[in-house]
Amino acid sequence: MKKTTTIVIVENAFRKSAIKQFLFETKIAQTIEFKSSLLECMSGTCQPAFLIIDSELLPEPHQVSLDKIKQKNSDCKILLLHHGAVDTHILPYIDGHIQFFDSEEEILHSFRTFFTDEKHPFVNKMVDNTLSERELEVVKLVALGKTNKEISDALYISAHTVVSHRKNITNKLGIKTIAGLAVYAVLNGLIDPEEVNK
Amino acid sequence: MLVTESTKLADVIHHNYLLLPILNRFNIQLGFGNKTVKEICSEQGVHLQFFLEIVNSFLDNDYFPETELQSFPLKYIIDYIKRSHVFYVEFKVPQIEKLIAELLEKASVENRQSYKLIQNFFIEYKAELIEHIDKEEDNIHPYVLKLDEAIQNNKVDSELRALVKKESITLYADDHDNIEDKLFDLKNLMIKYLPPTEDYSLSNAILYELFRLERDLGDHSRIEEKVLIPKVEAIEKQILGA
Repeated sequence: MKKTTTIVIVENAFRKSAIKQFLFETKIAQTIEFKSSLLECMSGTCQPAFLIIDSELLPEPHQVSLDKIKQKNSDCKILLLHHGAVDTHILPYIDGHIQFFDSEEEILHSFRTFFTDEKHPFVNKMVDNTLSERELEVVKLVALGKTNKEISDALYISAHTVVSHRKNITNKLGIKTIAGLAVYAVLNGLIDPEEVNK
Repeated sequence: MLVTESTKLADVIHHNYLLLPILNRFNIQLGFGNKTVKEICSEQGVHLQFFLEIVNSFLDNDYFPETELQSFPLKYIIDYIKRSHVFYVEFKVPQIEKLIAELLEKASVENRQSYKLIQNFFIEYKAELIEHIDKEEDNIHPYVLKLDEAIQNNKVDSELRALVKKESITLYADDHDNIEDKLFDLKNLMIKYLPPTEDYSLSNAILYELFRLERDLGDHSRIEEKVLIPKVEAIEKQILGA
């Protein structure tokens, strides 16, 4: 089986949830694991296809650390998150970088190129099962307990279209019930857990 | 495999160990040596044809017995269904609940909230399952037993005919759907979307139990739909025609 795991090494909760949200918006289905240090990911069993790491958590000198990762797992693509300008010496070791001050559009673009590069063609196959923007909106409203009628009013689409979106969502996700979609929506940060209880 | 009266019960279990809880519902305990189905049934006072029907329909979803084999009283079916209910409510569901609680206990801080969602989902599922079971036991079973008794004792009167017209089993030939869908979703949420746990043997254990519960419940609804309901419908016709 091909590795499709993405490991994200960041420390604080704020960044973690921001990255989750961005990864979700790139609509590239991945198994994402969060770790708080690179050490946790240098064990034998850990073979991510993609590694996203905060430069603050990358031991100095960066060049050596990155080289070690590539030696251990040459197929692993690395995306570096950093504050200031990126050191040109390390560019050959990484497959992309994002600055914390980049605009939303730039960040999304960087994530997308990072994941969809030709080197990993299987990523494109997985896109088929990800939800479209519209379907995501529908999942969100279904999870919040809205009826088909309410969803059709909110999104200015016909009730028939809502039904067809819901069918596609069930097929793509393998989730049939409203309660199940609510759990999915919370797990993927589409809605707040508090909202479900309303 | 078609189980007959001369099949050794031990061979049946070797063939499919998922039948074990079904033996319990007939009060058949392990340690039966090389005895055949017929021997064990007569020792335990279990209706042989009924036992064969239950076991065979579990092994083969399309198994449908000849009408002459269906000649056992309805109270056997009701009794069997009630025992399966006890198995779900008092044993299986609490067992899974306990495993999920353990999962939550062992979860890392960042996973705890996600696992909590699964726990709540299962609690909701359990409530629905119990509601469904209560509805069956409080409404359907007394109705079926009343018809059965009247037919056995040849006491069909206008009052009973009025009851059949008002109640009718087809009104209940209903909704296992949502309960089945919920179990399906729970499996998929765990397989596809839940952040993985370090203790993989624990999540495996939960999934094994969910798969087993699903299989058992599927068999349970098949018995209701293919055995109980057709039999009751036939009796209803008989009563209305009398």
